[in-house]
Amino acid sequence: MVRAGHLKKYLQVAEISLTNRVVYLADHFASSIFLLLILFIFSQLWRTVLGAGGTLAGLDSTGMLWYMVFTEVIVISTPAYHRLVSDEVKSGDIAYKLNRPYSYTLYYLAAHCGEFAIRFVTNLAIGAVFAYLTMGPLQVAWAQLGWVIISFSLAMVLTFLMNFSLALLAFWFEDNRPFFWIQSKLVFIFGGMFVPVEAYPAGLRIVSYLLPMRYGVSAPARLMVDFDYAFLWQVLLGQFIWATILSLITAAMFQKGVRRVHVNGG
Amino acid sequence: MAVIEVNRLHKVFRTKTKEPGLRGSVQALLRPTYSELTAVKGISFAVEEGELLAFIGPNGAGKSTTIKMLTGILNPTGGTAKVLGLVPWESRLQLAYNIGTVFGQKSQLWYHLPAIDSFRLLGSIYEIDSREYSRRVGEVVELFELEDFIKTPVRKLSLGQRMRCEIAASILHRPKVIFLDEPTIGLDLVAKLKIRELIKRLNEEEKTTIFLTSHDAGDIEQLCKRVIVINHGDIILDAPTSYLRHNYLTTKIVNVKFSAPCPELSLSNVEILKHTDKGVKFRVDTKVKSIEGVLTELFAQVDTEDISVEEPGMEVVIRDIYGRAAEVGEQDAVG
Repeated sequence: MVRAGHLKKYLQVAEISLTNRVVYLADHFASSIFLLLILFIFSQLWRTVLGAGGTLAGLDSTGMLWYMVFTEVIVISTPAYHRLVSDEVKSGDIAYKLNRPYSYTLYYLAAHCGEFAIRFVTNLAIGAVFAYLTMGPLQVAWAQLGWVIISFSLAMVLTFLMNFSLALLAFWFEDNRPFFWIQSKLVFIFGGMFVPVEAYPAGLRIVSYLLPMRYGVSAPARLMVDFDYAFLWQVLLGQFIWATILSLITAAMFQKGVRRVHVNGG
Repeated sequence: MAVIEVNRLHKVFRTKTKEPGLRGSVQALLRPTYSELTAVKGISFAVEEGELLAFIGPNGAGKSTTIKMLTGILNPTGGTAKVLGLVPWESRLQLAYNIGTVFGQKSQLWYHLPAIDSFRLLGSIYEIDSREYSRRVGEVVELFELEDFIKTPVRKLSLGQRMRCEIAASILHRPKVIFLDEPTIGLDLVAKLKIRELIKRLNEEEKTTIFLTSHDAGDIEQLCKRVIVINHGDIILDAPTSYLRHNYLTTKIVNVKFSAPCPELSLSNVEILKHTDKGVKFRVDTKVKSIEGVLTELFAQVDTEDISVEEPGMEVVIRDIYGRAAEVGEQDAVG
């Protein structure tokens, strides 16, 4: 059973992570220029490709841009903790993280949630204003918004687990960046970052259905722009299954990795 | 009662080796080779409750590796250790509630936030209830004199101020044992003196057992009653600090100022370092000849105006211990 003291420490980690991010808020808004650039390019693309009345995977040009606002916001709001873990292992700073009375993985999950929350809100605000001004409003299923928020929360956990399980490779390889380079490309494709995976050819679509990226990026975005109960249950089940699998993988990796990590430096 | 018990603790690191150049890199990829480095060679010692112990040695001697094993963040290759009755690497989380660590070259504080924010986080991490937390923060702020900068972002603090915050952060949960790994590294003299005073007060007022590593002889001389010297993973000396001073290195430097010029002087069994008409400076090994004996010989030859005797600094003592250990090592290798 989770004790109140345990919960409080992780909430405090999330809070300080969020507070720390506020310090960088000006930098953060500057980096949002990239988001605006991408959205501008795709707004032009979808207008040209789909025109008036055209659809792709059931979404018109407005739906496609709003879909992309949500996928992009999830991806760019995800903190790059793989770099942090890698740097901690290389510098030996991990010594301070390992000798505390908390779970190393839950510590980073809490930090991820705090930082993700503020980045998500600010990125979404910027993306939503752009999409509203260029393509018009999103038809939000207000009555079902609670379900969508649950799906986004699970996506936040899932993106953390996908990243963190790779981040832990730093315990073996120290430099985990090559794994992330591959993973980020897989997220582009199988996470349906630019196009909903439902629009893919059958083979590619099946592969993306079997991988976790779709449940972390494409699925919640799709729910937001085109809510459907049958799809919701499928998404929540997929998110739950993948969260369980990746939790077990992460726990096993940590147990094994922590025994062999060198903890460099004097 | 021993709070730290170490018995034949041993740590071997296995590291990948690589020949120079591109060819070496490819070879290392296809046919990796490994070398083994023994960082700690079966050391044994015990630390009593309330002790302030110096654990010293040159770079790469095995100090930090030992601390990391004793705090549970490294698994040993062999041997056993208990800290507060717990095996550190088996009960890392449980032990963490009762020990504190300060790594002088690393930081546990959130760089862009004031130290008080990190304190609050640590209060939650160690599950200190809010009333006790407020009381404790008040105590450490007073003890470490942090009130002027506790709300200043850590990045804007001087190294000395930051180190005071680092140590304060490590004792918020009232640890029974604290491991200080080079807490005065990089500090100026004033900041060093302040940190030493705080460590001493921590040991005396809160009865915290302190396990200190440092390269600074002053830290050891002014703080510790016992010293363990480690070199190449082996303990080469475990003795009271006073023993080092009085028995291990016995040379003293004597400065003499003459009342009248004395161009000729003959002193047996001393090493003359400097001799002018106005005075003489020489080194005496008190094992070979007593100071009294030298002075008697001196007074027979010259009238003196002033005499001072310099004790060797701890730095010299430590250098000498390392030197002797190296000599023994070389003799063993030849033998």
